[in-house]
Amino acid sequence: MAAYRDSGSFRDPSGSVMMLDDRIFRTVMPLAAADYESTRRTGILEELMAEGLVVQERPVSRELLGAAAAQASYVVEHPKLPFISYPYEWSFHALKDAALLHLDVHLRCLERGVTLSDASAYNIQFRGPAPVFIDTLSFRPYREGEIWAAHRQFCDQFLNPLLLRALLGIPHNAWYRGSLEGIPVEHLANALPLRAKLSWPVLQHVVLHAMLEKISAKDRPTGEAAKVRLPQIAFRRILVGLRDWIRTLEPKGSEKTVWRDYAEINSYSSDEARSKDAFVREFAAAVRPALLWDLGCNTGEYSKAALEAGARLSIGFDFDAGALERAYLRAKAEDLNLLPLHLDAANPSPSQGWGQGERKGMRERAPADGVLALAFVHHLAVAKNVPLEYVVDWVVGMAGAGVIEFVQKDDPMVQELLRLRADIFADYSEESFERALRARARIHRVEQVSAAGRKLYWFDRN
Amino acid sequence: MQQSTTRPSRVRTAIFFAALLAWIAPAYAYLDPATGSILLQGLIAGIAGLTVVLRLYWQRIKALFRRMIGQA
Repeated sequence: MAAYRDSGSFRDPSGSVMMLDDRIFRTVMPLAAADYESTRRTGILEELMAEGLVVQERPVSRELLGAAAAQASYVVEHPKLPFISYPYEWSFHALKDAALLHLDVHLRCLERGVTLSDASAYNIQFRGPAPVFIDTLSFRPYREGEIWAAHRQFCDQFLNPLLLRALLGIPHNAWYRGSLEGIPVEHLANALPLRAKLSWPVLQHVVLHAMLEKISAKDRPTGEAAKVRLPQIAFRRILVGLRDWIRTLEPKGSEKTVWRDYAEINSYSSDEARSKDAFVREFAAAVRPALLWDLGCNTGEYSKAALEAGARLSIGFDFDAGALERAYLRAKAEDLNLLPLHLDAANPSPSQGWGQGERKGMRERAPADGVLALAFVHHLAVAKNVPLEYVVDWVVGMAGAGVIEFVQKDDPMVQELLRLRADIFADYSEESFERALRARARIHRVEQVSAAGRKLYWFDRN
Repeated sequence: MQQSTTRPSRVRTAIFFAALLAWIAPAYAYLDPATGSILLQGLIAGIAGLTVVLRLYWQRIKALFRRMIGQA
């Protein structure tokens, strides 16, 4: 098969990401060759790669990519990341860590006369809960006195989404997903109350920034603006100021959201939790999924069990902002290879951006090697009115093997969902569930894990 | 002694202003930096520049006072 260009890699003419036989390459075009050579000579990239802050690169022969790299000056190979995620799927703390990584890398580079040409949040990916900078063509020599051209981009893609949550208590995910280039500073400025505007960093990066943007849109002083010069000391001061400020940002409010305390106050006894834990471990030890998707991961309890038993990487999905933060902080604290992401399963991330292919949808990033859907199905089948058969079809389509939990209608958790509404779910039963599952996969093992009748199904399509 | 410390600082100030006024930054980015952000950075640079200048002059004012007190 011939090498082809990644559908999200076209904005920067310096080069692009190419794929060949499940390997990842990056071309360096003649336009960027001199910058590529001089930044590599400083040794800073090697240092940052060795520390794991920047993804590794290895020069390879151009011939490897054939005609696709005919115009390129250089070709490098990167290790393939097992899962690509986007800033609108990250938790607050993941976005915060990504922002801090960007600033740290930039500051380290400036010490060696190197700067970053952009500040795209999409240039950061996660290995478990650890952010890594992936665009090795963003590095170029710093020219004394130049402005931080990517300041606006940094604000829109990192700072403003964080402030939305920290100052207003609004999670960034839905807005960011609809506005792929980030949250515009003018819009955030309009939303902030006067009290929030009175802090110096907000005044500077949001209020004044938005005001100047408005004024300049009216008067268009473009010729003069091109003459602005930023001494390196001021450049560094902006980056350090942002870093020190972002470090202090936390989500607003007490973080009391619906399912956050689920792991502690759910309706099963600890015996049930232990049976589930053992079942998940048995599954993970047998299947050893390189990539596991944990749908409805909550605080990452069962991802942890699976990782300890043999799964290599778990991507957790949940719609509850509080649970996501806890899962992410747990992954960091306990050194788990787990990345929890925001997902409303009734409306998963779509393929979008240019040509509707720039950022991939959830389905386009499937299949995983294994899937967990514990205490998950009823949230779609009952709370969201999705027919049970559709839910089973969707979950089974995510991976070749997995564990699905079925929760009976008389279970207290399902009754809670039905408390204020009519029971219109005649079809929601164990029999229909099993029928739907059998139609799509082989049932490898079933175990009842609660006295109330909750059951785990280990399925297998291979 | 006095001569040798004031002259380099005067030269530094002159270089600083010359650079501030005459330097024209070419656009290196493939990214549009957005005018509002550029103007903001101009202001920040102005404040930073002003701080540098004030600090330079503050040293000289202090030296001047010290001299005056020494003479009195």
